[in-house]
Amino acid sequence: MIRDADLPDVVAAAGKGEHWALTELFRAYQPPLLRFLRAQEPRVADDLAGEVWIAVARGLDQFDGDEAGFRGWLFTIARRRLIDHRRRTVRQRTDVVASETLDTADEWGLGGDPAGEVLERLTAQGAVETLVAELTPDQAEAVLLRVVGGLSVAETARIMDREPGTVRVLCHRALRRLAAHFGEDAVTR
Amino acid sequence: MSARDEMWVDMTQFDHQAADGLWDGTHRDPDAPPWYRDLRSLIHRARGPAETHELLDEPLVVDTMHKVRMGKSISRLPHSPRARTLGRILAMKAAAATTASMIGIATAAAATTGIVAIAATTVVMPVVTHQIVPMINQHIAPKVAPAETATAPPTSSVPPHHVTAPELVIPREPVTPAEPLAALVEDAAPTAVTPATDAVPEAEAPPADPVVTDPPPVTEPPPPDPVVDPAPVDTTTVDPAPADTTPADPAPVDPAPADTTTVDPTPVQPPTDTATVDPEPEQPADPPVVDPEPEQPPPADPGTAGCDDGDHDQGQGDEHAADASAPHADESDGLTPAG
Repeated sequence: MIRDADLPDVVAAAGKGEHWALTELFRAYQPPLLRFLRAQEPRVADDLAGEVWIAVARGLDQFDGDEAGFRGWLFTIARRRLIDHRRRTVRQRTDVVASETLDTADEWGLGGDPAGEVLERLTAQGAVETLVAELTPDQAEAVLLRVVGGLSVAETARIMDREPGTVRVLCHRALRRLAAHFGEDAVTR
Repeated sequence: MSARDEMWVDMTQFDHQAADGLWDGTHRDPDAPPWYRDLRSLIHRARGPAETHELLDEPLVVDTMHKVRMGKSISRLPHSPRARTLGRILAMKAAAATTASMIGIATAAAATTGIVAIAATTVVMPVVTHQIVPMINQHIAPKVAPAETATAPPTSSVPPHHVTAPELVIPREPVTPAEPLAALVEDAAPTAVTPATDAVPEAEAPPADPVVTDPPPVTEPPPPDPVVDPAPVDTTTVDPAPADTTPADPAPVDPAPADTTTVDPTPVQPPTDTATVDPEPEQPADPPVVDPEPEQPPPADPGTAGCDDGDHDQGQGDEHAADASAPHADESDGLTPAG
């Protein structure tokens, strides 16, 4: 993440098309952005991320806010790209089964034993996948925005177009599911 | 989930600060259930630093962003198969490195096993051949055998066996294979090597006085032969191991043909594979799916996007919100932050 105090300068320089600033923005926010997208649409996540960055480049000169605001803006765009993509795929009647996800599920031990040593071997994306594997789409999105995006409840609610209380309930239900999942593993361990 | 765990989870519903800390991975509660440690570990890892494969597109994306800032209208990134290929190559390299290290470990394990085999041949075999076999040959009652072996244990008697053993283990041809093995095992079995070197000077000590003439005595004929032989024998006692193992190798080789015969059936399996590959024919269906993409951009989005499938569970509210924003998606992206 870029420090709050540095962000205005970086954004201003990026708005002028300076490579160092664009690179700094990309390096700071591409990992969470990609993890957020890959957790939901692994097959097209990279392409969607590219579209998000192009949209960011277009709107840089209009952005005015702090670091949290930039993150919120970035994930707002990402979520809209996701929705657009899903509409397209629904209209095209394509098969949206993500074989990559199925492959990685075994590789990362999803649904398996999340013992400490298994967790140690997880990549960041593997951890994200494991985190949301047991959740409903709504819960997964709320958790992803909060955990991966590092967004507050209020910001998450704004992006999801929900009430903050709804987001809290979604997160709470997600926690219950995770507790049940990990609790069982802890018992069988 | 126990009742206590449920209570702990429910408490986070009312304690917003705890809930926030929980999802940030910063919540530290001594009363937290054990599974929370795993969850926190997951959260930390999910928020971890960038990984190499995540930044592969950096040059492409930054260049494209630069062009956009310079006024070019670009809606999509040019495809970067090179970057993806590079990512796969990196992954393959990592797999290759892992395989190499595994092979190294396996080699070390094999060397260690060789040491054990050598020790067995240098210690056990002489005892068997010089103690037990003669006893059997002399028809000594088994009761006597333990008595002799009981006198044998004084390890001082073992070196002589080594000296006399050579006759059994004389195969001198495999000397060369033994040396590299011994070289590999130097660190692991120094004890096995030192007794051999000790025995050598003892045996050759008398002729060793004339230091310069050392080589000649060795080459000198018959008399030293019995003495000289033993010395190399100790070193060559290492040989038998490979010699023993080499005959053992061919043995497994025999069954190998059987394996190759089992390989035959595998060609039979491929048909089954191809049967499972059935989905592949469906793949051609993908390209036709890709084709219509160019048609997507048309503003048909708002109309058809509709509420047909929506986000499933994601709520119609999302759909409506997205609908409202979709037509202006690119522009609204810029407007959002200002608010």
